[in-house]
Amino acid sequence: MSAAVPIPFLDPDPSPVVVGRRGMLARCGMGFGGLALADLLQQTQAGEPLNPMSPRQPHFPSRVKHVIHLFMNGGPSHVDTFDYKPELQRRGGEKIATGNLATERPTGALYPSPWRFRPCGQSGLMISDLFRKTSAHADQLCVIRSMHADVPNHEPSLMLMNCGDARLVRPSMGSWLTWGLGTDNQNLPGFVAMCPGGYPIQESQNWQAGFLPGIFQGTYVDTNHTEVEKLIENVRNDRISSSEQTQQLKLLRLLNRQHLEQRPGDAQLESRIQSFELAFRMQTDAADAFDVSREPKHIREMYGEGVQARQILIARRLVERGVRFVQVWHGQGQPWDNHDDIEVNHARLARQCDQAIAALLTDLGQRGLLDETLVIWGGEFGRTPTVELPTKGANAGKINGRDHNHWGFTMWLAGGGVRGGYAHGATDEFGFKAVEKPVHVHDLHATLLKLIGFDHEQFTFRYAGRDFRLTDVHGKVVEELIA
Amino acid sequence: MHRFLSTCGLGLVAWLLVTTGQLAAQTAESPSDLFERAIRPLLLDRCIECHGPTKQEHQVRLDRRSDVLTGAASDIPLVVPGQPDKSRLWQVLQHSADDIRMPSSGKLDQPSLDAVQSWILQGAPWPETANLEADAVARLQRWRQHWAFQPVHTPDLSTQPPDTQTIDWLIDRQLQPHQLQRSPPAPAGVIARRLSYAITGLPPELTELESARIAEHSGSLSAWLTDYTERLLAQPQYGERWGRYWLDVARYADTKGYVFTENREYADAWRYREWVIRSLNHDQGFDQFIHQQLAADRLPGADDPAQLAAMGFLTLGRRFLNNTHDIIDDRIDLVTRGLMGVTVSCARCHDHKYDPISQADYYSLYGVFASSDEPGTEPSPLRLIDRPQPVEPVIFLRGNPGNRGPAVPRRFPVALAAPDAPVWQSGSGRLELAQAITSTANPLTARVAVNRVWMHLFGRGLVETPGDFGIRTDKPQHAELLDWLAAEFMASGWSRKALLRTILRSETWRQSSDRRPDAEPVDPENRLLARMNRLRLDFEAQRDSVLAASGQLDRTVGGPSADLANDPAVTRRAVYARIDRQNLPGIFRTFDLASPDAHAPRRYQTTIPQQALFYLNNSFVLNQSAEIARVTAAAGEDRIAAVFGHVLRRSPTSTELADCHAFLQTITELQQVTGQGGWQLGRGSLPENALTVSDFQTLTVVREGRLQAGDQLPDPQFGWVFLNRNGGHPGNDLQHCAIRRWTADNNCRVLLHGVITHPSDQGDGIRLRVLAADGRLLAETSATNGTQTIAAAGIQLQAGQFIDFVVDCRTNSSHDSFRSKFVVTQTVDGQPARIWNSEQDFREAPSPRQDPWAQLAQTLLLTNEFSFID
Repeated sequence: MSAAVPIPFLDPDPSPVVVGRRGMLARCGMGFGGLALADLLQQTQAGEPLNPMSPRQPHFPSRVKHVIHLFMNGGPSHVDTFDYKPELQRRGGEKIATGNLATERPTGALYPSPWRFRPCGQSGLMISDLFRKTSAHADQLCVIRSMHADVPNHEPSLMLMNCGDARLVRPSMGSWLTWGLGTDNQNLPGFVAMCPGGYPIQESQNWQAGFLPGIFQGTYVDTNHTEVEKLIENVRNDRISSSEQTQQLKLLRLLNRQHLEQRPGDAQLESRIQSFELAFRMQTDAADAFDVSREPKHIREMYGEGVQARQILIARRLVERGVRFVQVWHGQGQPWDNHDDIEVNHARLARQCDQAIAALLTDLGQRGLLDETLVIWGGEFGRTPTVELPTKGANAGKINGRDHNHWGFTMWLAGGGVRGGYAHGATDEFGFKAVEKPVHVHDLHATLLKLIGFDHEQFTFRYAGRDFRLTDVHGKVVEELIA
Repeated sequence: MHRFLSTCGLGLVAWLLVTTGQLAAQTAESPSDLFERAIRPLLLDRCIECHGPTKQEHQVRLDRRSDVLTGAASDIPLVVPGQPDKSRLWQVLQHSADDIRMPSSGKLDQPSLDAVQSWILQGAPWPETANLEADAVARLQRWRQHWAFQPVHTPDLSTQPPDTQTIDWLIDRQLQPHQLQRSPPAPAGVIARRLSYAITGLPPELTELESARIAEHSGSLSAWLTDYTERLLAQPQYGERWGRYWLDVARYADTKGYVFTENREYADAWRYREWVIRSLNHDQGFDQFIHQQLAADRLPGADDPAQLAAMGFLTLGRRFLNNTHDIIDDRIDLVTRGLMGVTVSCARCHDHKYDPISQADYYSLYGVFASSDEPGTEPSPLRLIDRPQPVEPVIFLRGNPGNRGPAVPRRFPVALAAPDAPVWQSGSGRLELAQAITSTANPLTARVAVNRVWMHLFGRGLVETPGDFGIRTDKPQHAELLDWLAAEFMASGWSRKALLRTILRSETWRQSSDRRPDAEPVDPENRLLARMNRLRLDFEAQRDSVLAASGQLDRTVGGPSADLANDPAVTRRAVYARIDRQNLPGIFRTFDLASPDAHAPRRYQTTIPQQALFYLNNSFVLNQSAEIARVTAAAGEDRIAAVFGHVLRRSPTSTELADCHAFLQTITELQQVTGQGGWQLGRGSLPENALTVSDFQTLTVVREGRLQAGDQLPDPQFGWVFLNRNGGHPGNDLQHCAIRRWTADNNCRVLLHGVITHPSDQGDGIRLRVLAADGRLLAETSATNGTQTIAAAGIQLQAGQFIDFVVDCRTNSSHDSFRSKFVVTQTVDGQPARIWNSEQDFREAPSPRQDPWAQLAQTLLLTNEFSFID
């Protein structure tokens, strides 16, 4: 992992001008892990020139340093993937009483899963053939089968899953974590959101910083591109060669040094000087991080072909380099939203990412990164076990898809501190509603924060007269998910 | 008596009248809800001061359940659950002629009595968790004494020496106990630069700096600075600078946020900005400024679209998928936090946890905005109008519109209102709201306004939380100064220019920003202001200053928004930036612009490498640097001094001159050797067994992402030879190979690897030969219907030497399209590796080199001196 060692030729004589604690911090830039979070925030709120991305410790020790969130946007069907429902298979075509379980549109009879489920691994977790390759990692998966959210619509559910509030502007989970933990590599953004081909719906609000400083917002990367300058803004220019830019920075250092000598010990001047050195390194490191062709052939082959493979491999390269939070969206819009032709579409979508997800878990494990990386898989909600009925102007009316379902759905966690080979909670006999040990999205957030080392009730930001939390006034840690 | 003491007490009673009166009629409410909503506040506000933890008059204590139900303190059970008539508490509340009458301050109103009766009838439920003791002490004490709710108090100035300005005198009084004194004045040039940025957000003209220095030498600096201040205040750039500050308050954006597929543009948003800038330039009173923004439709001139645009303040917020409740919530937050520093939107779901703001207050304001419609486009799409029938608001229990609670009147938050404030009767109440906000009896509005001005001028407010003057905000160090400024501000007719003049002529503002080691032990944060703070230019000032340095700044005042985040050619001031609320451009986030999602009390100030990347690589900066080089070209011998004059507004020192000369020479030399550094795409001849390419010619014709030899493909002379980003096609023979040439821009060592694919399943494929300029064959491979990789390491190159990646057709030139990617990892001693990637570096046309003078100008733009104000 690269560190911000001063670049020798840029810093020929790094004689520190230390002005007490604040100046010292600004100079270090990184690696002062012992500093309490509260101190740091106080400093940044006072407008002091502390590097806001410097790594820092959470409330209590945690092995988890990074998060990779594989976002199956649109809502993957849990009853076709990780939530096996024998009754659904047995009673296909039967009308069931769904009571008050309203979804977005009318649905009809039970619609059995077209896929076969098999017991996998030592744990015997039931996983469908859609994720055949991922299922080889069954014993590492912590499958939450009793997830539930608030409404059966994409926009509020995406906001809830990402930001903990369905409507109001609140910081996303990645922004919270980057704000709380900083990031380990100052030459890369701390929070990266990748989505090939454009934005998911609700767009960049999914990784918004809300009322946190804007620099904690996710850096969006369209992974359909491969050219680094389309991936990271201002990462290079064509008109000045690297050796010329080196000379520019050398002159800049001379000029700034003379300026600083007249104004000794001003930490904000010093930290801005340092930011140019970091930027110079970032140009190289960013290009390197996003270039999967630098991986050996056997690794590239393990992840497979296509944009999903490439972006999931990039995710691994990013966390390997110290990026705090990487969100990998399946694609622009809402690809997993299969109101029609679910058999064809879910098969296609899973085929695009199954191998790469399995490879990610293998690869992280082989590199010793799985312990310190929390992998999250899921969508904003699941889908109905009943078939969607035709709605004029809304679907193709083929009666071979499933509607949105926020009453019960599945997500899984792997890696960093989670209990592998474990299925938590359950939906009803058909998979409609979470009935055993239900886990609300707020509870998931509370648990994720705990895994990363934060008490979700203490992890707050003062804004507009209130102390805000990712979990607002909700959330209960689900201890069973933690190893 | 403090005004708040009277208003708070009365106010809360009035609030109780409203809530409890309705509660009695409610059937669905649970007993514990009744306690929380009605009985607990009643006990807190009317009883516990005398019968609580601090005092137990007549041994009666009403803050603990045990005392109330079992009479532990007084031996008499005060409440007999289920039996009001047998409850002593109920008896004394009746104010009978022959009994003790409680509360002694006056009998409870009937709805409150009804609530108490219901409560006792229901068994006097009292949740075990209700810790009235702590609540009572804390809340009452804090509310009554909180500094920000006290009337604005003009300090006693009778001992102020006549030759001292009031600001300086008040600052000195805070410094004296610490045996500290203010710093000496900053140099004339520094003060002039400060003035120019403070008022207009732009750097001073060189000529002004010159005359400041002359005035300083002739002893007339003070008069000159006064005159300069006036001239700057008269410039329209003043309104642009301070207008942008106001747009932060107003959470200005040009778009609505996420609204499904609806058109997102607020096409007329800029007219609001226009109105703000004009108001500032005309020095409209701040009270009128607020009146028009809240209720231009109700004021003279209501048919004037330009005036109605003022209401963009309210109407240009996020649309929250057109959810009315959220839109109104946004407006309530904007008006209360933005104008008065109170956080009313906290009370959407429950009474404010800290401040004396009830849920009833929230829904009183809700009713005002719910009674205001957006009627459409004419005469202004930004306006609101009052509904013919105003909405009579009710409390939404827990903020849920489906759970309707008691009715509340439309009126000002009770704890902030004058004791005799009437409920609002005129239309929606928006105009009355505006008038209540700007009432001189309202202590908050003027304090919040002057604090914000102080913050912009000193880098930090007297109150550090400009959007929260509530209970949790401590009384500021300079509370007297804040009050004096607020009083002066109101007395001047709320003149913003007068306020600026007052502060800008103070010695406190004009003092040096040099560190004060003597003051740091007692005042490390410089709250006492023994020196001025060094300020960093914000995004707008920095960008505008780059344009001012190049002379390209477009000084047109007003007009529609310009997309400066995406178009580097925009030369308008940054205040005119188009702000897309939904996908705020990266550059705005990188440079800490205010979030347009809600009222932004202050900007964050961060230092991150992405800011430096912008200044190193963004074409806006490169273009303006080149422009500075162009306009200084005629300066001959003095060109370095001319560049310094443009960028830093001063002459270089002799050391700087020497450094810059050396820099220019180095760059010139580098460009001579490395002019060809990087990739060239061409064709040439490489016969069998030859080790150097001959007849290398670059491909210059661009067609659909391809570089080719001529207009046609195949070319009559050169055949199919072309190159594109991902590969290309060789010509028909070894005289027409497709060649990528990579030239070293420095003495270096390189590592290379590549991958080449012949995707067709027909033909005999292609061959790749990789040659160093000195005739070394570094790699060779042939790809036929498949993929091959190459690698070579440890290659030493001199600056200007190159490596050729040569693809030929083998024996058969059909089906010879290929995909290729070559990566050169270049290491120069002491530098991090640089990666050259044939795909990523692909350009249809070579970029112009940045000339040495432009590089010098850019480097000066990067300096701390350019970005900070001493």
